[in-house]
Amino acid sequence: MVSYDSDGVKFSIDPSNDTDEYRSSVLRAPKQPLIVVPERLLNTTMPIFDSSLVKESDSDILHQHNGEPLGERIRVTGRLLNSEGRGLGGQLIELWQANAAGRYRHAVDDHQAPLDPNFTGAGRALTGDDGTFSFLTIKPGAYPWKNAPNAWRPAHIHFSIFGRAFTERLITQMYFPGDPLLAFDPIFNSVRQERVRNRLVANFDWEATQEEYALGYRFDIVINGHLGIPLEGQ
Amino acid sequence: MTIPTPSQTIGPFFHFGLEWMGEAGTQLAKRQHSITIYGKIFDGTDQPIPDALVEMIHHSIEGVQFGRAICDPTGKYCFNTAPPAQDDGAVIQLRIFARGLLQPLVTRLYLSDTMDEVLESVDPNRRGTLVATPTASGFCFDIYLQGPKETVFFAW
Repeated sequence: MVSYDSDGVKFSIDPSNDTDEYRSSVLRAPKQPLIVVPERLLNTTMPIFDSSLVKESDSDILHQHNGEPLGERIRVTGRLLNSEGRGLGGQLIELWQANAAGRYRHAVDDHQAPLDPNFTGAGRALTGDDGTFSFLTIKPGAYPWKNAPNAWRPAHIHFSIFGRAFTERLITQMYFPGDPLLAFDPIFNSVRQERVRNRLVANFDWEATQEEYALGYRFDIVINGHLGIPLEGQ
Repeated sequence: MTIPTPSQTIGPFFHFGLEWMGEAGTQLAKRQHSITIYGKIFDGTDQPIPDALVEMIHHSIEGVQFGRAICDPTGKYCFNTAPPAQDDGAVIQLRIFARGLLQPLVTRLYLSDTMDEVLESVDPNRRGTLVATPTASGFCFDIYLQGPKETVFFAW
């Protein structure tokens, strides 16, 4: 949505909706160009979500049922940052994902893989003062989709971030390092610039790995901390 | 400057992760003065899309109003909200997330065709796509992603 200016080259951070390799976009991507207006005309402060809406335990996706879910336990930690690298505290983060077998708890998901009675796959958290967040979950499975013959989505976790201003709102996906399916995924590759695309791939993290319990992954999320600050010259 | 994280599609299977906020939205309906805005979102074949998420935001005299609506199986979304503050131009901003959209679409719902700086920047022939229709049950605002009635969407 927002242009990024680096070395005199302007490009869009966000993928264009006009991406035919992603079949669902063909009938849904607008054909007319977006009308570009000054950010100040669209911007408004976002509501503040506080601890009355989000419990500490909402970030533990392993313990929402009577038993423990099947799969590889992971801890996903990271920081929510603005584009100047400052941590953003008190921000709502929502997360959802498929289970270890690659199946979503959703009526429309007809993938022939088992549901897990002990796994819903949804969590949320408020970031700490320095922007940190930490979720305990299982590694989602890859799953087939009908975008093309024998197409499979790489394992991913969906993230939703509100930000402080309307123009900071972000929904994105976190991928896992070294996944061979990334090279073939039109959604991941819709982000054309490699260095921007790599923002979507978590890093394996010993620090976040919990001995004899869960592997750690680090996923920092950077939202466009504009609030009217021009991008040029940064 | 750190490279920001790019957008990815919400996909078709978000309901179990995002519908929890519904209760926060319905509190708005208990307000003494509220308005209803509703509509459907249509794809390039004029079929309503049943798997979109719509978020709205605007100012009222009570402050920032935010709402989240998940389209029902017929493709309808609906918000009950406080009337927008008059000095805010009676505008409600909408953001649409859906399978097939790699980045969400931002549009503006005008309760009347009173001109403002944003509307002035839109081709006069397309301004009508941003003005809601008053009905017996509120304000109807259908959104067309493609075609001759394609709604105006904004970037910054």
